[in-house]
Amino acid sequence: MKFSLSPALVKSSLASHSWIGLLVGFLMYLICVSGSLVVFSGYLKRWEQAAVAEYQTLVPAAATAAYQELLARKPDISGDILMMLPRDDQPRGMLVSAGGVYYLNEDGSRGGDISTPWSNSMVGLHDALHIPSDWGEILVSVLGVMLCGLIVSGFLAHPRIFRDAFNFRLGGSRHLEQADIHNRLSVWGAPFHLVIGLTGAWFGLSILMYTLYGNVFFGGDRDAAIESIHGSAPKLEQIVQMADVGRALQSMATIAPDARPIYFNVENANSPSQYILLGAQHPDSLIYVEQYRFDQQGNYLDKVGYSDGEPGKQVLFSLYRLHFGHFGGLPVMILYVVFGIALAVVSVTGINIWLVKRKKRDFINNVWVGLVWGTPLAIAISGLAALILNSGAAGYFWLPLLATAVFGLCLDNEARSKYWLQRITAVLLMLMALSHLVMFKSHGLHGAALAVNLALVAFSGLFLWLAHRTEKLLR
Amino acid sequence: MGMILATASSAAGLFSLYGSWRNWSLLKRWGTLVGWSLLLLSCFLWASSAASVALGISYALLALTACAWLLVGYNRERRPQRSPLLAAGKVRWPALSALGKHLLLLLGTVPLAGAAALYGSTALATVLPWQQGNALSFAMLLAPVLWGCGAYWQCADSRPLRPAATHLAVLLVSAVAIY
Repeated sequence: MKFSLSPALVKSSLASHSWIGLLVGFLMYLICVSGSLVVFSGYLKRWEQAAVAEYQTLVPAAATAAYQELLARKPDISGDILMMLPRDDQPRGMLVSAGGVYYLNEDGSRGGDISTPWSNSMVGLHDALHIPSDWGEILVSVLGVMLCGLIVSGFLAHPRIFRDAFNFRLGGSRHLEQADIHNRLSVWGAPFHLVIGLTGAWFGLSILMYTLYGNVFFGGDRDAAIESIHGSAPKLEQIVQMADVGRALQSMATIAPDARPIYFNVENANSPSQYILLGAQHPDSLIYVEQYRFDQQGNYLDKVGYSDGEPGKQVLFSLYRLHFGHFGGLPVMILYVVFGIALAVVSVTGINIWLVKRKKRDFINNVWVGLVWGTPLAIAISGLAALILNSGAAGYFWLPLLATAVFGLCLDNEARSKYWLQRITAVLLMLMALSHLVMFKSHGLHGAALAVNLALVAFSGLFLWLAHRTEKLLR
Repeated sequence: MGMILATASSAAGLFSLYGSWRNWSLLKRWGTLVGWSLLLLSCFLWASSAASVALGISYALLALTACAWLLVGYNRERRPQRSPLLAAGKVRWPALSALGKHLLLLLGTVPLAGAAALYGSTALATVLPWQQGNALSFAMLLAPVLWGCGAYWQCADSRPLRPAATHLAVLLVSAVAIY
C-alpha cells in the first residue's frame, strides 16, 4: 500500500510527538494503570466489604421502608437523598445522604456503613491524580487532550505505518524493540485511544466549558448553561410530605418495562420543590441512564430525554459508559483492562525510546525504572493499607512511589531495580489476597471477592514470571 | 448468530490484510481491498446484531484492535537480546535559554492552544444552525480535538511564533464574536 508523508512533516511531527510525550508520559502512565483498575471499581468495592449482603432487587416496599427509617431518624434532613439499587456489578443497595452513608439489607433495614477507601483512592488517582478541588480533574482532562495530540502527531510521524503494520520484533536492538511495541500497540489501538482521550478530556473540560457557556450565553449563570443541555428541574410547589419512592419505583414497570432502575435521588428533600429523579439503564443504549421524574407523591412527571431526546444530550450522557467500558458486560470490561494496560505500555515505551536515543544513561534512567515498576508496587501498598488500616490516604500511594524512585536511584542498575520491584510487587499482591482471606474468611471465597482474590494471585504470578525473566538478563 | 458473523468478519478482514502484508500469493493482489471491505462489512454486522448501532460500532472498534493485536502477537519475531551497556554520562542540565524555550512552548501548548480551542469551538457553536444544547454539546466534544491539534502544531512548527500567533488570533476573534 502506497502512503507517503514528506520527510520534513515526519521530522517535525516526530519532534512534536516526543515533546508532548515527554511532557505527559508518566502522568499518562499513572492514569492508564489506575484507569484499568477503576474499570472494575464495582468489583473492588465489593471485595473491600466482602461480608455485605448481596441481592438482585430491592423491592419497592423495601425502598420505602429504608426511606421511612431515614426520615424517622432524621426528620429535618435536607439536600439530596440518593438510594443506589442493586445492579450487575454491585448487587447491593446503598443509601447516601446527610443522614449517613450505608448499605441496605434486602428488607430495606439499615446495613453497615459504606467504607471503600482503596477503590475511592484509585478512583481519585484516575480522576484527579489525588489533587483536590476541580484542578485535578482539569489536569487529567488536559492529559486526554494531549492524548489526542499524540495520536495526530504519532500518525504523521510514522511514514512506515503500513509497511510495518504487523512487525513485532522482540529482542535485538532495544530501540527497535521498544519502537515496535510502541507503534504496534498504538497504531492498532488508536480507535480505543481516541475514544478514551476524547471522553476523558470531557470530564474535566466540561467544568471549564459550562462556566464559559454560563458567562457567554446565560449572564454568568453556570447552572442555566448546564440546564440548556441537560434540561431543567421541574418547577413544583407542594405541601411537604414524605416522598413516595416505592410508588415511583413500582410505576417503572409500566412506564419503561425494559429499563432497569439503578438509583433514585430525592432532590431538595423535605422542601416544597422536592421531586424524585429515578435513573434506569436501557440495555439497548450507551447512555448511562434515562432519568424519570416523579413528584413527591410518586406521580410520573416526565423523563429528561437522554434515551430519545436531542442528540447532544444523548451523546454527552453516553461518555461515561464509553470511557469505562461499562456497556458490554464482563468481556468488554476485560478488554478495557487489557487495552488500558496496553496504553500504559505505550506511554512507558515512548519514554524508553527517548532514553535509548540519548545513548547514555544517568539518574533519569534510574528514577524512571523506579517510577514505572514502583507504580504497581505502590498500588499494592495502598491496597494493603486500605485493607489493614482502613485508610485510603493518598500518601499510601505517593510515598511508596517516591521510595521506589529513590530505590532505583540508589541501586543505579535498571535491571536489578526492575527485578527487585517486580519481586516485591508479586509478594505484596499475594499478601493482599492472603490478608483479605484472613480478614473476611469464607466471604473472600465467593462472588466478586473471589474473582478479585484470584486476579491478585494471577497478577502476583505474572510479576514473579516477569522477575524471573529479568533475572535471566541479570546473569 | 449475528455476533458470531460479525466477529468472523472482523477476524477475516484483519487476516486478509495480514496475508496481503505477508505477500501470500492468494492475497497479494486483492488482500488489502478484501480486508478493508470485510472490516467495513463487520461494522455493519456488529451494528445490526448489537442492541443498537452505537453499541455495535463500539464492539466493531474493540474487535478490530483485539484481532489486530492477536495477529501482531502471532507475527512476533524473537531475536537474541542485543543491548550494549550504555555508558554512564554526566547529567547535562539544559541552559537557561533552552529552559525558557521549553517554558514558552508549554505556555503555547497548554493555556494558549487550550483557550483558543475552548473559545473557538464556543464561537463556532453560535453560528451552527442547530438547537442550542446540541451546538454546545458539539463544541464541548470539538474543543479537545482542536486543542490536541493546536498543541501538535505548536510543537511541530519550526517557527513556534506562527502557531502561537494563530492561537492568539483565534482566541481574540472568538472572544469578540461571543461577547
